[in-house]
Amino acid sequence: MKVGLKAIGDLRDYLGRGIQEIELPEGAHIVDLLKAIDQRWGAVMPSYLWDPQSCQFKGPVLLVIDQKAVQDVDLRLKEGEEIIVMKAIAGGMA
Amino acid sequence: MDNKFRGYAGYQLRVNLTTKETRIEPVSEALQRKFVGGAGYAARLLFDELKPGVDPLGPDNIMVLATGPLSLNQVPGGGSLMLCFKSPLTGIWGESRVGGNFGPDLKKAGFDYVVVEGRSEKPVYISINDHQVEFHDATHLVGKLVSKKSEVIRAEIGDRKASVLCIGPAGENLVKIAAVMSDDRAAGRCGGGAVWGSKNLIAFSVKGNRKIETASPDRLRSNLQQAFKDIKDNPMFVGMKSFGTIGDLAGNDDGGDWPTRNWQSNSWGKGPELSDHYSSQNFQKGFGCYTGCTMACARQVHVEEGEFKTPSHGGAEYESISCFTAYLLNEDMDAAIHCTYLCNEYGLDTISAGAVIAFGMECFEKGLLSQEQLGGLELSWGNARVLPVLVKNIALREGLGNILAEGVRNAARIIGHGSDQFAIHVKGLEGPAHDPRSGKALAVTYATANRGMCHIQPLEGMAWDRGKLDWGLMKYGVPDPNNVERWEEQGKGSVVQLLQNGLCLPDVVGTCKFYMYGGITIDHWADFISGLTGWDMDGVELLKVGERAINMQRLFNIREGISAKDDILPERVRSIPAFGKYASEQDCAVRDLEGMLKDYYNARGWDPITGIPTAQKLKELEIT
Repeated sequence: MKVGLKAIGDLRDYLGRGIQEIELPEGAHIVDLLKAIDQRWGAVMPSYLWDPQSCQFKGPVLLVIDQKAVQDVDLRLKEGEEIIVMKAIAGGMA
Repeated sequence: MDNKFRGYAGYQLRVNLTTKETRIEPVSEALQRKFVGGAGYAARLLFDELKPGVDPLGPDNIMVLATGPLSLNQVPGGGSLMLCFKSPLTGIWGESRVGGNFGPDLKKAGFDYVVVEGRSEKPVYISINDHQVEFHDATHLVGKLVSKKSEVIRAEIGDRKASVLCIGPAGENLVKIAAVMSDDRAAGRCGGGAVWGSKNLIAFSVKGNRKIETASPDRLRSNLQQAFKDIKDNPMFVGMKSFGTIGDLAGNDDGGDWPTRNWQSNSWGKGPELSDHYSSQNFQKGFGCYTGCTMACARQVHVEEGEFKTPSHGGAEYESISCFTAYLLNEDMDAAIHCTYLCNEYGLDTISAGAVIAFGMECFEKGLLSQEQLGGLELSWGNARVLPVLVKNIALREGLGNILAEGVRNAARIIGHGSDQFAIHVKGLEGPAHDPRSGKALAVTYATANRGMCHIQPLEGMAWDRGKLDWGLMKYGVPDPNNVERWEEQGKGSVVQLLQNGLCLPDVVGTCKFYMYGGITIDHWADFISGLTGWDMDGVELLKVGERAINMQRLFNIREGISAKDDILPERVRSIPAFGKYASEQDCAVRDLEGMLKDYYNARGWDPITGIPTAQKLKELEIT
C-alpha cells in the first residue's frame, strides 16, 4: 500500500518538499514507516535528528496524523494516509 | 461594598509605599470589556496615571501586577501574571510575565490587579490574605537569595503554600536587568526587579479563598473540558510536554536560529553535543509551573558534581541556556545551567545577563576594557569559569559587573571606544536567542515590539515563517505559513501586524502563551471569557482588544519619545553571518527592513513616516 509523508519547515531540507510517496506492505504500522524512512533518508539526516540504530527520530520531531501526534509505533496505517513529520519549536518566555 | 462583577474579582489593590496606605478600588466592567486585563488594562492605567519623563527608579514610577480574566488554575495556561511598569533599562514600556500560582492566587485573594506606587522608607514586604493587606519589615531579608527569602516569608506568614513574588540581591542593588521571581519562575525582562528595589519593596505574598462569580458555570466547565481534550494530542502540546522549551536547541542551531558570539553568527554547530549532554547529564524530569498545568513544559535539572555543581531546580529553559552557551561560545552545559541557577537566586534576567556578558567578552577581545575595569578577570570567548563570577558581580554591582549591570546600551556609553556598534539591543532591551536570519518575520517583531528587542511579547515571528505555526489565526486572515518562504520579505509587515494582535492576547487575558502553541485559540478564550462574564465575546472582538493593547502601549512609548526612528534592527543582526553554516547564504540577511516596516505601519494604520497611530486609528479603537 502507499502512504504519503509530508515534512514541515526545516525538515523539508532533508526529507524533501511536498508529499513523498512511500510504498509499505499491506497492514503496515508506524514502525514499518520508520524503517522505510531510514532506508530512504537515514543517510542524509544529521545525527541530532535521526537515530539509525533504533530507526527513530530524535528530539522533538513528531509524526502527526489527522492533527494528532502519533505516540504509538504499533499504530496501523491505512492506504493513502498522509503522515506529517514536524518539529516542536524551541522558544522562550521571559 | 460589593462590586458584583461576573468573571472578575472586581477590585484592584492600590498600595502606596510612601504612606503605607492601601485602597481597595472597584474596577469598571466597561473598562474590562474594552481592555479585558493583563498588559492591555495595565497600559491604559499607566498611560493615564504616569507622567511622561518620570524617573523609572523614582517614587513616581508605578508598577501594575496584572492578571487577566483567565488567570485561573482551571483554565489551560491560567497560571500567569503580568508586571507592567516604566522600565529603568529602556525608559519606555516595560512588561514581563511570570508563570506560577501567584496570578490565580491573587484572584482568590479577591484582586484582579495590584497597583504599586511610592517608595518605602525601609525595606518591606506585603502580605495579602483575601482582602487583608499587611506591611512587614523586610530589613532582615535584604541580601538573601530568592529561595531563602521565599522560605522565610512563608514561615513568617505561617503558610508554606502561599505564593511569593520577590526580588533578589540584583533588584536590591538596582541592577537594570534585575528580575522579579516567583520561586524559580521569572518575570525577567525590562528590569522590574530594579523598580521594586528602588521602592524598597522586597516581596509580596498572597493567598485567598474567594471565588469568582461565573455567569454560565456549566458552559464554562464544558468548554474547558473540551479544550483540554482538544489539545491532548496536539503535536506542539506533546512536543512541549515531552521536551520543554530546550527540546530543539540542536535544530535551532542547524536552522540558523541561534544567535552566536554576540550575534556575529546565527549558527554554531555545537548544538547537538550540548543538547546530548543536557539530556544525559542534567535533565531530571518535566513539571508544571502552576497547579493544573497539563503541558508541564518546565524542566527540573541539576549538575551532579564538579566545579559547577548545582542543586536540583527548575531551569534550563531554551532562552536562558542559549544566552549562556552560543552567545558566549561556552561549550560547557554544566556551567550554563549553574549560571542560570545563579541568575534565579540573585534575581537576574538570564537573557540580558548572557547578552551583557557577551558584550563584555567582545569588549575584552577588542582591548576596550582597562585593567581597572577588568579587575583581573579574563573574559575570553568560551571561558566558562569566569561566567559565575560575572553573574554574581553583576548582581552585586562589583567591579566590571557594575558597568554590565546597566545593560548593553548604557554599558556601551560608559565604555565608549565605538562599543555601541556591537551593543545589540532595540530600544535598550537586549536581544534574546532567536535570529531573524532564520525567518524574516522576526525582523519586524524585533523592530516594533513595544518593550524592545523581544521575540515573545508579543510575537515569536520566526515561529510563523520558519516554524510554520498559524496559532489558529488563518481564519482571521493570516496566510498559510506552509506557502511562505522563511527568507522572503515582501508582505510580511502586514502579516506581523495581524499576528501581533493575536499573540499579545495571552498577555491580556492572563494565560501562558505556550498553550496557544499547543492548540488553544483565541476562539477558545472568547468562549471561556463569555462563559465567565456573560459577555457575548468572539475572536473578532478579542483581536480588536489585542490591537487596542498594542496601540495603547505604543502611545505610552511615543509620549516617552519613541517613533519610527527607533524601530530598527542593529546592523550586525541584519547582516550575513560572519561564520557558520549560513556564512555564504545571501538570502538570510535582512535586506529590506524599511520596506517591511512601511508595510507594517500601513497595516497598523499608523503614520508611514513617524510610526505614530493616526487619530483615525485611535478613534476606531476607542482610545482617547
